[in-house]
Amino acid sequence: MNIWERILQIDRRYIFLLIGISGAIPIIMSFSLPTFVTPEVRGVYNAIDALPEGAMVLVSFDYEPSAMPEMDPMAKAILRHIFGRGLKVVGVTLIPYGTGIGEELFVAMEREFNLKQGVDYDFLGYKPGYQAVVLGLGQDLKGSFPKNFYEQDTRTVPILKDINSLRDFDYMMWLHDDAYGGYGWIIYGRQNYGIDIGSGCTAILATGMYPFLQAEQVTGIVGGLKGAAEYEKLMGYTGSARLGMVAQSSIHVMIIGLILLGNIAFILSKRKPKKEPSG
Amino acid sequence: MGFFKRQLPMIIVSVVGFLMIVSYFSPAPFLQGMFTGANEWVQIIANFALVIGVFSLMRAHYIKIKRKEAGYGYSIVMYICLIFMTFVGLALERNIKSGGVFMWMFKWVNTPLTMTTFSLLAFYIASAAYRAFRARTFDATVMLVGALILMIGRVPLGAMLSDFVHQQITVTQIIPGLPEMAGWLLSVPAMAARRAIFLGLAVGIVATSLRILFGIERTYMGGGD
Amino acid sequence: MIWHELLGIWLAAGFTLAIYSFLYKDNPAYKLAEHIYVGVSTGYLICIAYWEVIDKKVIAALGQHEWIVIIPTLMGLAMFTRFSKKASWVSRIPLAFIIGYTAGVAAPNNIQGLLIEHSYATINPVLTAGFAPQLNAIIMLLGVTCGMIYFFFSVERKGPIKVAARLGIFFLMIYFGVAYGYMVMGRESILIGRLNFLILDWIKPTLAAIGRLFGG
Repeated sequence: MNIWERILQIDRRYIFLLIGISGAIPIIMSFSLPTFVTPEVRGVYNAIDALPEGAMVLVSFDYEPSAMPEMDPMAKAILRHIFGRGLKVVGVTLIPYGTGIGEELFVAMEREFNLKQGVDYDFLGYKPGYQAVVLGLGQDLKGSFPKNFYEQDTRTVPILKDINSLRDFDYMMWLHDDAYGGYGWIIYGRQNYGIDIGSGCTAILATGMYPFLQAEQVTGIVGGLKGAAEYEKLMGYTGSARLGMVAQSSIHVMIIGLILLGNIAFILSKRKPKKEPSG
Repeated sequence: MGFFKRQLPMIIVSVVGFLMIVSYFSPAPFLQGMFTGANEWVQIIANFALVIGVFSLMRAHYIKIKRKEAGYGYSIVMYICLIFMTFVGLALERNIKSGGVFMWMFKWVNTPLTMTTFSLLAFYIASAAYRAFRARTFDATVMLVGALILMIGRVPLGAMLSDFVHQQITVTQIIPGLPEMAGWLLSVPAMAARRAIFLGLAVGIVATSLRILFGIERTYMGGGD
Repeated sequence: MIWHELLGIWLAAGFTLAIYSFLYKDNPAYKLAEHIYVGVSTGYLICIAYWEVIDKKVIAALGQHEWIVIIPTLMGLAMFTRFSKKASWVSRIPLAFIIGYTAGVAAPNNIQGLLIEHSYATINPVLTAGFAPQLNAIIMLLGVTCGMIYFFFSVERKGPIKVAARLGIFFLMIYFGVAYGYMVMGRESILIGRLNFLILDWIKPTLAAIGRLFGG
């Protein structure tokens, strides 16, 4: 076994250690790198920025706790933009864990912007059945959600007074870590009830959203922690996403280095035995 | 009895399905009312499907405890946590709100455990990339180059690197920077391939839906009579 | 800091380390954490399923004498018959309702939302755009067409079909490459989130507290 073969067969726990260290060092040092903004993220920002004061925005918290490190900084940046502009938000979720996530975010925003539940925002909560919920909200919002998350009758909540369908919203922010119901909000919601949608999704899902962007079915894509960092930059503050970008760069360099090393070792370990018989 | 077991489900599938299709095209109040009702019913039935998933999991762990299989102690721990969480959520705190024990459990137990479990994949992906991501063939090389451009082009480091090279060697300015390259890959060739997959998927969904509605596709009924 | 938040941070840090211990090798601490996770998250599901649907939709409707809600509830309950060998056929009825509904709404919406809109969005730019975007539009049209030809398994691969399918693979490989890159980024982000928690929310404040204790 030559040195290259030995490198190829290194115990994977050393690789784990390298990844852990390369992620931890930038966090301990805590510095930030300049962020550049892509047109996809600007698409969402501009759409929200163009809404008139008092406009109604629907926000769907369709991500699991596993995606929170990516999605929470993004959700916070976008909600700060929305509430900062004096827009009103109605939250909803297509997945059970979205309730806890939405509730925590609303509580944080309530403190930060001195909001009032039922007047500045409301949280409808969760209902199962993906496309059945999207279509239910489109057909009869208060029938589908007779009570909001806080057990109040939706017919008596002030913010929902003139809201009876998806049609009555001016914009929708879809925060998601999966396609849920076959891109339900786009295929069923936007198409049947004409609601404009911005997509905020995990990095894994971002590649799959580009066809919808090109077809103008979404106004923009905020993808993963990188997208969140861009949104933080547009909002003019440095939050956990922008700080996380340094660690992301550092782990990337490590992984790219490992891929290159793996390939070099692979090529060189193969070359050696060919030479041996002649030598 | 055979009618209830085989024909009735097929009739329900076809009738419900065709009513939904007709209500998509017709604004008739009768059809729209039925469509709205169907959305409500599906939500309630789907909720029980979720409960069945939970029930199956509980059954599997119950069997493990009953047979005293290896590691059945962990299943007991699972049951204790499940019962505790359910007790807090259903009996102790009516309605789930921030500031209660239920949300505390969600924030400090459920969430960190889920996130950490999923973050394990970051380590395994790195290890797999090192071991298996090889430029063996032309196709694999294309994939590798695509991945590398995206990975470096989408982080601040990629932009800094491109700017540095552009400033040092002026000739290279005719070549777009890494962030632009990554953006182009995403929005043109990769988008095209993803759309091809989407279109194939859409044809599949439509074809399968029609096969189900016409009673050609019956695998959803499972085995038996 | 409030005591229950401090307790939460220490508990979460303990669970995080217990899960990460799996990276070294499988061990009881990991298994314990894993089962606590399953138990707590399942308990969460049960409560949400009860409050959000059964309480707010079924019980509330019954309270207002909307008896029709009994039918979907019975259909939902009928799903439990799948655990019995003799009566499992009953569960086919609610399942048939769900499948009929899903197929019925999926067919027209996917034809319009995916097939028509995305075909239009692929062809239209080639006909309307200026020169530079035109080139991208042609590449896109080529990619979509060749990608789809690659998925046609019922046609024999020879002549132009073979060339197109080969080109289709090329486009798909670029897609898989960037999708892989983005997937790596996503997984890393979650890891960064956990490291952020461990270092910034747990270790640093703890060290600071110890420092205060000894430094007076």
